[in-house]
Amino acid sequence: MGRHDGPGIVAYGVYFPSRRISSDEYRRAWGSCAAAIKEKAVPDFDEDSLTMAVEASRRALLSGPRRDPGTAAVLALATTSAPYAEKALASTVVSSLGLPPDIVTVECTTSSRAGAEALELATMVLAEKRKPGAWGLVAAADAPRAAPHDPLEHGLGAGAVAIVLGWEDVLARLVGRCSWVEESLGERFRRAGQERLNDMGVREVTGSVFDRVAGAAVGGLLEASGLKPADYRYLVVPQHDGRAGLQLARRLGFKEEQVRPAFLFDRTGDVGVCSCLVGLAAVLDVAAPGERVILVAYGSGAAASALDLEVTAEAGAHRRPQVGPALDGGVPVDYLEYLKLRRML
Amino acid sequence: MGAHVSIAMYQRNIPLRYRLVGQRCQTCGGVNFPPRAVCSQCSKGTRFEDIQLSGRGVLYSWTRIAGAGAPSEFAAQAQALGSFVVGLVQLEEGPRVVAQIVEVGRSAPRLGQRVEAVLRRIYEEDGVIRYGYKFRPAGDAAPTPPGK
Ligand SMILES: [Zn+2]
Repeated sequence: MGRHDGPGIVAYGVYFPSRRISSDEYRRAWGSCAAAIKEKAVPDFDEDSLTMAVEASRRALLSGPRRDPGTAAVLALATTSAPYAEKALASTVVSSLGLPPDIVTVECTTSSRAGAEALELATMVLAEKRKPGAWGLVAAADAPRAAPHDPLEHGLGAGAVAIVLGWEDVLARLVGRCSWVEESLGERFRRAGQERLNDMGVREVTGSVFDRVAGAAVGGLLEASGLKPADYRYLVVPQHDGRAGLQLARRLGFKEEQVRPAFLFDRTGDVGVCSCLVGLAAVLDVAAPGERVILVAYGSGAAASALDLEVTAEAGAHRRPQVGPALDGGVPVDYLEYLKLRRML
Repeated sequence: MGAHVSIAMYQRNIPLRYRLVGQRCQTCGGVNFPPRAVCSQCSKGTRFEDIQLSGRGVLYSWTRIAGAGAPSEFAAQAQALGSFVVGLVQLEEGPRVVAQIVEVGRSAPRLGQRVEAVLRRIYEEDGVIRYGYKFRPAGDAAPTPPGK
């Protein structure tokens, strides 16, 4: 299996802020909830994408083999809700974790595909640094915002996922990938200087762009691997609403049981760049050696990435599930508290 | 808290504010946090090495700061949350530090409660975000996911 010889995922961590708002609160406030969620996490007043990225990273580092933070070779950050439009973001994470100042940093920030991009790019950087002990970190965190009166807002959640990459003790190896971009207008955008998302809401149009772009990425990946949908145990789909990803899977020839284990939208809402990585973490929580996984991420504009992963014999050896414990529990807040915590009031 | 800290002063202390880097006295071996010019344990040592503190500790005392009582840089936070808790935390390595205690809601934190450090926004000034450590309740085994 020489072609599979490369860096891979050695540990991962998941973080959701401790407060939760339920769809009932939206129904009380607005008469209905526009998103198919039961609840979603709400960041504390003093949390943002960087603090959440640090939290998930600490969890990822604690969940795997001990590593000296000062030896990391690459940090890839992903978020669409950065606290600064200009200023290095990685420096906050580097200083908070004690990563070395000469680390290679990548910041992927302009679409919800960025989580998959960060994973892809960090793996590529690490592949160049082939030496014993070389490792890297992917930290994706998001808390996208829209106007309170915009139905798009109802589904927007918050959370973070971090992935430790390395050459040894790999749980899942990246064995293939396919990227697809084509210009598409009007769907989910935020002009420079704006804080809140817009979406022209042309569903038929955006639905077909999503299908075409994400479908093309998965199609290209299958062509390269020479495998069929049935050869994959899991498909991790974009989760920016409760439907589109599931429909995509069906159209591509995947079955419900391949998609469901990674589909968490009703508990997470749309966690932006993290949505595909939370799904991947859920898969890694249960996957068995030898199983293949496709992860497909999508961003408006439009761009998709499909990643082909193979779970190794290491998976399950020291299993510490991350997604369940991060999602369970939580302290309920009402809609008014939600608006205050999210600085919308 | 409440005293103006320039960006330059804040910046100098980033390793301690972001990840609790303390100092070990080369004279007596005691741990200082925040770092001092002269060791607070032996009152003699002036040579130190940096050490990474664990961020774990127990809550030694606390007070709740409500709306009007908050220093100006914390006014927005107090307004959004109604109030917040400031505690004295006894760190595992010995030193006691003052910091906000998060994720305790409106309930009274328990003295002796295990806590762990988290990175949060402390406040903003002139558009610049000041990040730093706060503490949140921890279970018996660290790290602890929220809600457990
Ligand atoms: Zn001393």
